[in-house]
Amino acid sequence: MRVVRNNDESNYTDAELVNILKESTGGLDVLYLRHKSYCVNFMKTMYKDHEELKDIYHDAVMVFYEKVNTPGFVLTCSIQTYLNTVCRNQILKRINHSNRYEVKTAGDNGDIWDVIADTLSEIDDVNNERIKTMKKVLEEIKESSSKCYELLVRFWYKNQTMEYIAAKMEFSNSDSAKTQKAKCQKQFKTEVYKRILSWSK
Amino acid sequence: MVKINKDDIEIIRKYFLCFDKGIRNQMRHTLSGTLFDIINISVIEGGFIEGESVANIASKLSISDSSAGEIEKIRNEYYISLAQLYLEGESNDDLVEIVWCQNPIFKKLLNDMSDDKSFEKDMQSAFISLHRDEMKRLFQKLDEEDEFELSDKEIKAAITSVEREAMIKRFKELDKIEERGRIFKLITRYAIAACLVGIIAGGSYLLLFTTKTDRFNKLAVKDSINNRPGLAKIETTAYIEHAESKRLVLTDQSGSGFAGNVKNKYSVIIKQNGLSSQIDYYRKQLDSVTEKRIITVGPGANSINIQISRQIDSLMKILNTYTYHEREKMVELNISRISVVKNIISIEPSDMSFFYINIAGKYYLIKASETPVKLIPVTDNKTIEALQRIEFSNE
Repeated sequence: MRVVRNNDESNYTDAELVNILKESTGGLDVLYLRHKSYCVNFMKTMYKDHEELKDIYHDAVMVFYEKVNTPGFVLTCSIQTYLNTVCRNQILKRINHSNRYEVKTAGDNGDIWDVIADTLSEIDDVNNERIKTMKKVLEEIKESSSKCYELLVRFWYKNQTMEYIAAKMEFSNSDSAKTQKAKCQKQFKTEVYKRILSWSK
Repeated sequence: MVKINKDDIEIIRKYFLCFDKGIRNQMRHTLSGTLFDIINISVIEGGFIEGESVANIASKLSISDSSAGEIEKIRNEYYISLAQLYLEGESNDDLVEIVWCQNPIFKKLLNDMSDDKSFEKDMQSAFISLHRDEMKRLFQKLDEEDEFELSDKEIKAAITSVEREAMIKRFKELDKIEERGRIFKLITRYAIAACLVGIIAGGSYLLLFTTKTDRFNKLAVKDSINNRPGLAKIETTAYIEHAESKRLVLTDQSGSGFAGNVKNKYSVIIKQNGLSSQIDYYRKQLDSVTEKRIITVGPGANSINIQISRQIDSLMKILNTYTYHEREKMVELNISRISVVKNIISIEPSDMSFFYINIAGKYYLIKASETPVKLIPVTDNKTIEALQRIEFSNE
């Protein structure tokens, strides 16, 4: 994961940070460090088991990051507020006050209410052999510095449109981006099934 | 055990991935007598179509394990290619045969590959899981760095805090020392002030009103006072200079002049008071009391200052004066320092109410007076000549 070190955290506003996160993981360390102490201290007032607090904060940051990369996301409160809310919900879950519920929280101006997902989105069983194989293949593709990885990540993970991808990756148009994506996906699929078939000796 | 080399593996791969029967036949024809005599390609073909395990195929061909692994890879590529063709709506003889044989491996593969949605969903999950693993690793790394890394700001804050606490502690200690010192100073200086008042009062009385005895005493202040830390240094002794002598009054012995031939001989007691050291002493006392704040509070503060100042004033007033008690024939000189009185000279021996005194070469007229009179040097040349003549005549 490429990390952009920026010791001067004051450079980014919340809005700027969100834009950076939509494009890459470069702002993750800034996001993480900037809000960490506040969130952890906030949670300490609510939860005795301080060992878990870091894990809860990790999850909260991941929730925020994935939320940022869902289509149509607009930040309607401060990042700190968002993270605090997610952390609080996580703690409440842990102490069995609620299972999964919608949380309303005030935005910065006190008038805007937002629904904040309180947990990481469910994904299929990551122990599924096919998913495990896919992860390995993806890592290999990424290490090969292939454009395919970026293309597939933008489409499947960041949920970006082909038009946007074409513009960002300098394709001539969205169709050529689509064609390239199909090729990459086919290669990926072939490689995955090759590995899967090797189990069936 | 037959080991198939890389080139042969590549040939076999091309054979199976080429679904054109004509090309395959040509390859068989070309390679018979060489590779295809060693490797019975029909065994491999049959095994692939029917879904036989690679281990069995390898056993039939007596090929090594490593070669069997390569055969397996070729098989997988072969099945995937056929499945892709099938999903694209195409067909060939191999595909027909393989489907007809109900090849279980191919059947499962085909089912999986035909379910794009399921594949894409898994792919999305794989991306999410992968990124979460990466983020988790990043956060753990940041946590570790964060625990050991102190920002400059934090270091500065920590050092500032420690230094401030140390300063506060030191200030408190100094406050305690100062408080103790202040209290002690206060007590000590009140005591000194009381002594001073007594001395000044007594000294003034003696100076102004007593005639007989040595009125001036050596004043001593306890030396230990100067050992107190932080106190102003006080002059510990003030010697009041005085000297007393009896001197014969010189008269004209030349037989001429005003005296005629009268040879009256009498003596005069000369008392000298050197006031400078006393004045200095009181001035220093005054400095200590006022400027150096020995006593700044209390009822005695002002009166002590006034007392000392008055004493100095009174001494200044009598400085360079004399009194001449005619009956006692005693002259008391109040001068800065004890000086050498050379001679006492009388121009009119019959009149003892006045005479001249030679102090350090200067002549002063002394007239009977109970109260201090200013010592004024004689400036009249005729008188000076007369006095010098009398001195000379007495040598």
